[in-house]
Amino acid sequence: MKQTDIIHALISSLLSLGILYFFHHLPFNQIFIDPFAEAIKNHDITDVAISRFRNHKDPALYDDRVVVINTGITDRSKVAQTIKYLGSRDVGAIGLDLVFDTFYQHKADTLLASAFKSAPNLVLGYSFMESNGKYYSMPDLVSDPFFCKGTSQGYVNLATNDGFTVRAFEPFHAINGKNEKSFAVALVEKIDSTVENDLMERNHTKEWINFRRKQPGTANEIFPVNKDKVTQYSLIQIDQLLKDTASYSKQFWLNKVVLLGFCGENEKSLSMKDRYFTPLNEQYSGKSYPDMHGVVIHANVISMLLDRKFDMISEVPEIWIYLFSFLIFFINFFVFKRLLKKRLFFLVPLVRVIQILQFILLFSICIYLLVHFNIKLGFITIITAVILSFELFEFYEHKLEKRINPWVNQLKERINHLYYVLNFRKTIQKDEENN
Amino acid sequence: MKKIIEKIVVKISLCILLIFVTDTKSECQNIFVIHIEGNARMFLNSKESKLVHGPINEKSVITLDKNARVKLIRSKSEICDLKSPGKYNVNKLTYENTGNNSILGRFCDYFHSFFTTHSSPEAKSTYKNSISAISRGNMTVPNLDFPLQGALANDEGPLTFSWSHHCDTCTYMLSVFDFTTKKEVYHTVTKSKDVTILQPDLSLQNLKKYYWKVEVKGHDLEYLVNSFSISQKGNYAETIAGIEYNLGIDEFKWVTITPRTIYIMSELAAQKHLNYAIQFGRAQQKAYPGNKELDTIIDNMLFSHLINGTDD
Repeated sequence: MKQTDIIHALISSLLSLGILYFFHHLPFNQIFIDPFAEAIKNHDITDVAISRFRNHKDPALYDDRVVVINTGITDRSKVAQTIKYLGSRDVGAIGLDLVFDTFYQHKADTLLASAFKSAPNLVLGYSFMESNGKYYSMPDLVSDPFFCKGTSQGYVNLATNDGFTVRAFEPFHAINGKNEKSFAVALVEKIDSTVENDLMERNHTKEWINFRRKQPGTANEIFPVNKDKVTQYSLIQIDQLLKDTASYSKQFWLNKVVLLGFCGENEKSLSMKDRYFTPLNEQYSGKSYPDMHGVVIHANVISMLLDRKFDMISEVPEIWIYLFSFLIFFINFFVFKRLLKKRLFFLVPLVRVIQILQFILLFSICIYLLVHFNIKLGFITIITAVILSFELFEFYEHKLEKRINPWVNQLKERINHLYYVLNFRKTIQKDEENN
Repeated sequence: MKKIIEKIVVKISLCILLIFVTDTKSECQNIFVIHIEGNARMFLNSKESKLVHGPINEKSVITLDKNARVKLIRSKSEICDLKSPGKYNVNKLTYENTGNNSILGRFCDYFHSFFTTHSSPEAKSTYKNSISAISRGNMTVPNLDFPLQGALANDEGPLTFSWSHHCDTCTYMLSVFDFTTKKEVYHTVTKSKDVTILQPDLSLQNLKKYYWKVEVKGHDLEYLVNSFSISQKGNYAETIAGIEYNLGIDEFKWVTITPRTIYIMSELAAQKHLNYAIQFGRAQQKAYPGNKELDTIIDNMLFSHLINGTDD
């Protein structure tokens, strides 16, 4: 490897990295130039990794720490009875993913408010309207004060980039100028008081949700929701629970997080209300339908928070991704230079084959890191480096190299001179020491 | 060879130019009032008059009271929507193009879209907390959408009863009763949120008043009830023909089906024939199944009347 080539490779890689950075931060809709990117624009590497590369049939995925109760079409007196019952069963926390924003002044309202007061470990869900800049986010869907006065509350908002796919959540958010906890954090805190500190230490405004458990329920055992027919959370219908409370032992409920929410009007219905796309959707690209009810998404977040020591997704910092891209440009410079010198007839097809192989390798690394180590390596930047590397190499080779050559030679001479001076000094030092 | 290529390039350029010229040809600048809501007046040469549907003089001034709204149309698809109270000079109004513009405009819109920001799904910081994963509410009663109170035609083909309700798996029971005798004249059970009676003249008689309700099977609730009267045979067709005649429909043949439908529906609504307006809209919808705008117009009219209530 010649010294001149190394200098050229370094300059070319730095220039390419600058172009990559420039394109990445342009306020342009860059994907219009690439129909492939257009097709996958709403898809993230997480979708592929989680839906295709995880073993969803692993029996260890059954999480007995969280129980979901389907309230169906909300009957306030039934919800009140359920909360009273759970209150007598030493559950760890009760999460109510329902909003009671109307006070009808019926008997059921009084029963419900009294049940709420009798359950100190109850957390009520509410939502907020997000604002940016100088304006505060404001509460949006909130239960009537008749019900929620004196009760713990957590916001149910989940983060999305397209309005219907849930991939992240914000553990804490300033609402009305006050830092509030999310629904899942408020619930986990009831059974594990260290969660708040742990999340604060991570110092991530938003956290990726490590989806592991699919939507339970017989009506959902279909493609693309749960074709493997796995049960990873206990889903109990509210009527079934109230009819036969004797079939659940006290031990069954002990220290559990019980979530009450909507999972269809009844056990046979495949309802699309309060239902969203998640990376667990078995059809991660093209047309599909939402695969998970909001309450099960909260259950997944709770499971992840309970296993936070090893289950939280960590992101590779941007600086590392650019360093990785630099290496791709640097290595590819020598690969392409070597191929160019051989003057092959099939040079371009060969380069494309190399790029495809690199794509497969990098894609596999990204998937492997995410599936086995919960490390998310930004795929788009590094794959753009692979795609652009040949065109940028050609540009450098044909348009810039000759112009830069005099400076490179100067630089080379200076380096050699510096090297010579350093060596000369070392020799003098050695001679002096010997004398 | 070079000359042949030059000739081809010149011919292609001329063709492109011709497309742009023919596509952006100038249109008639007539202005029409196509929608009036609330109290709106018109002044022309200091003379005050009630604002009516149809052509309007460019020199006139429109005044809108509180809660009033007027829509004007110019050329093929330029619409001006006046919502705030105040005075408006018709010749100084700004018209909005509804998107049915020239090919050049569409090219501009397309290239402009490149400059909109795009965030990668990998950029967690750009994610918005816009999903409220929560559900609400008890079993509510279905809201009765159509027919509304007032006259309804039974001689214009199938009649659709529709209602709205937040339930995906409920079973509904639609019942229509004679208003005087309280006898049930029609009953059906369905899982959808509308029922079409194919031959309404067999169940519903002319000049008779009826009421209807929709119950959710298995839920004993206080359900809503709505009444309507079946009009005289031929009244619906006569009313529409009258509007077309009064407005001189031949004078604005250039107006496409969408504004024409809005125009006639608005006039029917102004004459307090809300059911006729919806029936007319649905008939047009059936005649032009590809027209998505008609669906929105009918929904908007029905929704605005359900929200504001009827005067009957």
